[in-house]
Amino acid sequence: MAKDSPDSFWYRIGGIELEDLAAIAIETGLNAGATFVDIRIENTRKTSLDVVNQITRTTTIATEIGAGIRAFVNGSWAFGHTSDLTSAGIKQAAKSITKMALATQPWIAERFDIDVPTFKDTIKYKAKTPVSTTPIEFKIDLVKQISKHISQFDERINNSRVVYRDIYTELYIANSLGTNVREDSGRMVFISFSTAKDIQSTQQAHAAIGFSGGLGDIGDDRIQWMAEEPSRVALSLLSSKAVKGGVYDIIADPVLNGAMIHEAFGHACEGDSLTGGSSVLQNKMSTSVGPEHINLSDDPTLNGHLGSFVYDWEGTCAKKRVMVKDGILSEFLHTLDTASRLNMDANGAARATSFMYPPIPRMSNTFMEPGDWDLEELIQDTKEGVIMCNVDYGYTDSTKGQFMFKATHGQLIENGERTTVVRDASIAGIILEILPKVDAICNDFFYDAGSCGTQGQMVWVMSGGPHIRIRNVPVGGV
Amino acid sequence: MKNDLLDLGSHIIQQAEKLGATQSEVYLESSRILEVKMEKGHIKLASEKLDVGCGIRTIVGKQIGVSYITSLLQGNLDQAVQDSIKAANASVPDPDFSSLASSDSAYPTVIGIFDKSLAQLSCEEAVDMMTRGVQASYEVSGELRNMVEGDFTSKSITRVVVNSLGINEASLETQAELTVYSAIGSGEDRCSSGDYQNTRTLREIDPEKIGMSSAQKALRLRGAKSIASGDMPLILTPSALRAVLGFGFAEALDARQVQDGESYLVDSIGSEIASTELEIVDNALLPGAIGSRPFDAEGTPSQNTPLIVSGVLRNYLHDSYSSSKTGVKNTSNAFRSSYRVIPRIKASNLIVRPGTTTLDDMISEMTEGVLCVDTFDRPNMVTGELSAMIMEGFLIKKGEVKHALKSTLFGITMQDLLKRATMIGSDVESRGSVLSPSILIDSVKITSG
Repeated sequence: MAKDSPDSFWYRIGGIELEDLAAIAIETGLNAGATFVDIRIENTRKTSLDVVNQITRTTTIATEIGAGIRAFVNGSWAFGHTSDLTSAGIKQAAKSITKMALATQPWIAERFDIDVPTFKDTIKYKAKTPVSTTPIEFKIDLVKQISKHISQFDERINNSRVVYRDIYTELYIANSLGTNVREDSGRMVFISFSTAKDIQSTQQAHAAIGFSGGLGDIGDDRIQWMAEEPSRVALSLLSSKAVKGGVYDIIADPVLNGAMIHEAFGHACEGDSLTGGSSVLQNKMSTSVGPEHINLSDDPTLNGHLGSFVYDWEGTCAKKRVMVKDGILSEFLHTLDTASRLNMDANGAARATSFMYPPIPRMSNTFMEPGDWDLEELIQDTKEGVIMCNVDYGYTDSTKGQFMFKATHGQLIENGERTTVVRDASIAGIILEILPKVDAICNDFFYDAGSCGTQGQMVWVMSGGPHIRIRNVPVGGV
Repeated sequence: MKNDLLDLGSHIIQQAEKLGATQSEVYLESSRILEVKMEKGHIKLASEKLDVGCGIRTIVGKQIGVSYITSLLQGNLDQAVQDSIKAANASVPDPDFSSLASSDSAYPTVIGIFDKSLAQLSCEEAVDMMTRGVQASYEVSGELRNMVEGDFTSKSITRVVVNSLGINEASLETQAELTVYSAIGSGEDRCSSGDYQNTRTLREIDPEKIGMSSAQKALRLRGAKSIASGDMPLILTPSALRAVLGFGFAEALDARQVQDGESYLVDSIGSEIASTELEIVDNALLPGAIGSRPFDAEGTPSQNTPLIVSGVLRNYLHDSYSSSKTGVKNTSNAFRSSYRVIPRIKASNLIVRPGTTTLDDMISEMTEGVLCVDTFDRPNMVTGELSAMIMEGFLIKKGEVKHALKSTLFGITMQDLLKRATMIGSDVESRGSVLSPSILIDSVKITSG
């Protein structure tokens, strides 16, 4: 593997090449009795800014450096990490992790082997205005400008807040089967908040955008949208009413739709909810889970998206996963573990927050494919209902199949026309009951950036889709 | 370890001063986390994480810079100090900042927050706790149709805070958490639920109780149905209150949010915001409690802060920044879950004083209403509007629990919820860092479909 510039990672770990460090971990683990060993060595630089009314509340520059090691013996997995990247440190960690895998063997039910394809590759970070080398002063200026733009949007905007985060990661992954992958990447997220106030009320709204690449890869139109959208929404909410609880036909906007696909369906497709035997999609592969016009995918190969990557955190080359094709369940999201146990192909869905966590099956960029309805025609056709927009938050229990989302704002549909603006509406449902209720899919599309937490691990994701109509949904109001 | 970290802290402070910091703060951690995960009743993964790291805040005038690094090696720490100074120099001066934390008060001794047997726990002992929990679930449901998942984590941690204003504190703490989740049956018959316990000591963990209760809770959820929507009374159990009060109420008291106008409780000190039945404190000194600690994340001494007294709001929750901004006393509520995050304001142990009515009596006195055992929802913090899904709940009719609920939400503003908390139960449980009995809200809007 070629050496990079002198300030690169190789030199900062005492002159030991990553390949050699990885070889020490793998050899130590195998010698101690493991049948499979893998290691992730990570050097990450993070910047995080929180700017309120153009003042930096926090300015953070951080480093995450260390190695995560897994040992596997006949179905038994153990994981550990160390930030001591000396050969002695790596050796000691690999030894004690393997010991743990051996110790827990008696309590393992499924005996299986890890027999998977291997990859060797180096992916460089290419970007305009790379996050890794752009001075922090430049980033602060940019975020201050956005904050100023929000404040000046209207005189009723009394508070603006912009959160900026970037992350530059050099990740090296190797395993005992021969995988040897280095992938460098940079990502950024902007979240803007606007608070509007008049004599009647105070209302807040937010918008988020996220990318992989560099600051120069973001279009000015996206920055402008992010600066203006929350103010537009917050202002419209000043005269809003809380929605009256009841059962409605709803039109979910792309952000809410994407979140619903992510929460209500994507999580149930994660391989580990199937190996656990508890997913609502258990034994449903190749069967109908919704109407024929529904197509759901998770695609980490999209260029420049926040949830994109070339290799996953186990070094498997990532592929587009078509979870639902024409209403038929067709693919799950796998790690080496879940693919091996379910006898399916690994498709590069293993992700970890950092070297401190074991890789688990996760989504990347998740979306519903557009259909052919025109939004305005759909509103006319709906007659009475609620348009629900954006997501405050949502969660799901993929065992129970229950989910809920809180939309940040919306609008009533009366006599086929948009009327009163409403806020804080929640929808609740059962995963396998909601898709059949989707009876119209629009021809538009939008992606939203966000983060998703599962098993204590946060990863950045995107989710999106077109506007859709869902019939007879319980909408909670206050 | 404790003294090594304190020395390291002082050394970093000196370095920061050399690089131009007018004030600085170092937060150091060294922890061991042992975790065993179960799936389908068997071990899925064992892990041991030895996590060391350091968070640094440096001040240059009124410019604040933050850094952290996942290592305590000298070369890495040097870089973190430089990064922190670089961040401070680049940031915009914050006119509201006056000083990092300082303290003249004595530090309390908080008992029951360290357990040697947890700190030294072996992988085999962790497996034993986990398997006992799983067996207990099987004893309720039978092994065949129950897909038990679970997690047992033990954590021991040394925390150190050193700053340039004389704070120099260290503490040793342990925590254990056991979760058992039972998914029983298949198809229409399928039901699932879980139970958990977090404690400071190993002996308090009761795997048999948690395992059994997870399966019993799951079986009670069979035959869930929607109900007619309408206004009716609602009982929130301690596990539901973990979200409703732990987030929905405690976060509205975050003085930084209040100062930014982003809380439904702005300008409320001295006002009657709750039913006179409600008495709530934030007590960081409670022996053995999960949120107890001798000092907060900025190193100021812990205290017991009254929040609601006879329905009247007495205090917001402060850290050094928010308290000096408004010139009130710091309540020592700075919190950081790790050196990898920035300190924020959080309640320590939110404690609701119990009443005299048992949960059974609350149910039997109810003509028609809903019992909510679990929800994860939080309100709109600005307006206080809460629309929450009942993750686990039941219809009550004529004093009896009738059936479990499906796709059902309750709606109310937090302002009304606090005022309508007309009956406080006697059944105190610790859920996360919320210690509360069940509470009856006399009317909420129920939507179901």
